[in-house]
Amino acid sequence: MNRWLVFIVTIASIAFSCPTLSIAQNSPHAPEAAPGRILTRTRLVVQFSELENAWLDAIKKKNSSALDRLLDDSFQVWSSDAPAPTPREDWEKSAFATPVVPFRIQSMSARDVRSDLVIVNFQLLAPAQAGKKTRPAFYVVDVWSKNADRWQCTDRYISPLVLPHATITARPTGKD
Amino acid sequence: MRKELFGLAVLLICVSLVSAQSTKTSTHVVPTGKGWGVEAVQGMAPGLGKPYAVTTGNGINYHNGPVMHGTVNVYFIWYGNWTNGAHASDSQSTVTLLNSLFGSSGMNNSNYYKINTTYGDTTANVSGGMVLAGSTTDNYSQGTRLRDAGVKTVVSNAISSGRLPKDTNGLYFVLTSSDVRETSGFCSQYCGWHTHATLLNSDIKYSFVGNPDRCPSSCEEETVSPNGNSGADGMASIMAHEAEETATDPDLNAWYDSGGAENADKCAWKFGPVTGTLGNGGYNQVMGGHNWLIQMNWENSRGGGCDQKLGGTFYTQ
Repeated sequence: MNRWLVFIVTIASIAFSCPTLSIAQNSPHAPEAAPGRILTRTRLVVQFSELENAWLDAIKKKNSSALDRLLDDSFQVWSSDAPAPTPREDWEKSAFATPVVPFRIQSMSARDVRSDLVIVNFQLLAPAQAGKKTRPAFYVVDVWSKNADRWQCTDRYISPLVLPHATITARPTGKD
Repeated sequence: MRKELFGLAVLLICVSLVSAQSTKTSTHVVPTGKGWGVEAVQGMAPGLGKPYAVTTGNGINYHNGPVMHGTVNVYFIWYGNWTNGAHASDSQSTVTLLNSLFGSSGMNNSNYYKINTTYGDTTANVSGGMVLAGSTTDNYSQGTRLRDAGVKTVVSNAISSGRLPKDTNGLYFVLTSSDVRETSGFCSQYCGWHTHATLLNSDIKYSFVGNPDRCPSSCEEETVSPNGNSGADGMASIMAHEAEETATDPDLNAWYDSGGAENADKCAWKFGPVTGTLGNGGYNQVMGGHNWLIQMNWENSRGGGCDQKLGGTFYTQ
């Protein structure tokens, strides 16, 4: 895959999705917005939520063969505070050596740039901790490519977020 | 720096799905002998002089809010161009098809919609009744770029102008043609939504559903669909989803699970077995004289599951 194409598409996706994400997060409190609404997630959001959850499950179970199905051989992780991407081999080794944290996916959107290329945006939230006003959270952009009827992630772009407890509602909005 | 990268990457990826179950909202579970319990909660059934039991313990929880009782009246607001728009589905063909689905011989009292009768509140259960009670048009009064507030205004204007009655036991659908954008995430995050608001001093339930021909890969299961109208067929499943959720969680405080999923959310894009081929006109329901491919709904009994009809087989896909 052309890395430059992926990069440009991903940046464009982020640029387009950020305002949407912001609106979605704030909609229950915005003066002119509806007082909360329950969404019917798109087919793509449902489909890629399942893939992302399968990925999380594979990590939890240290299942390399499951990861082989989900991740392209050239998979790499791009971080906002790292000078270079982490290749799959290094990432997998570290992932399996680290204790599992029960993160949760929310606010996902998915765009099919082409029939064989989907950009998925979402947040990963750590569980709330008693006595702490914030909790770890990350903004994630995954690039999924279709290889012979199988979707595989080729690139993950990640950036830390700081979300106060107040922005996390007890009543999910349906975007999860 | 490389260590920092590893740390962040590992923290990000080493995660597991949260699957916690929330506690139930009431405290008194009574066995029924049918394999599930009933929770006795505050409230009295009219004329009975005893609390009306709310069935729980089936993977979805009751949060003390009301459900919609009796026959739910459905109202359509056809927004935009539904005569000769950009797609073939922006036409009266779609109007006719969806009128039949929500007509008296459509979902109304069908075995499919009766799945909703397994939900109730402290007064009574949801009935199997839901019929189209009126419709009107809106010629782009809010333009082609709708915001959530614009959808609300469309509903409010339809009622205040007298084009539709004010009905607190109604569900108002704002149905937009394929040239209309809804700027809060239509096609990227959602295909439709439902909510409620105080309009003209009444609690009004309403829903947005756009023509999915705007984004087939996101909001249509089949581009070759049972009625030869992919937009209408796609809308049918999404509208059924919103209708089921509105009846069981009209004010967003009645029925949803520990993850915030309402009944139809738990079965979104799951259809069960179909007649024919999925992706090439396959269907799983026959209602109102037409074949439809409509997602399953979560039955609040027998432990809970997605099925195509009340008391039917549970399917996971």
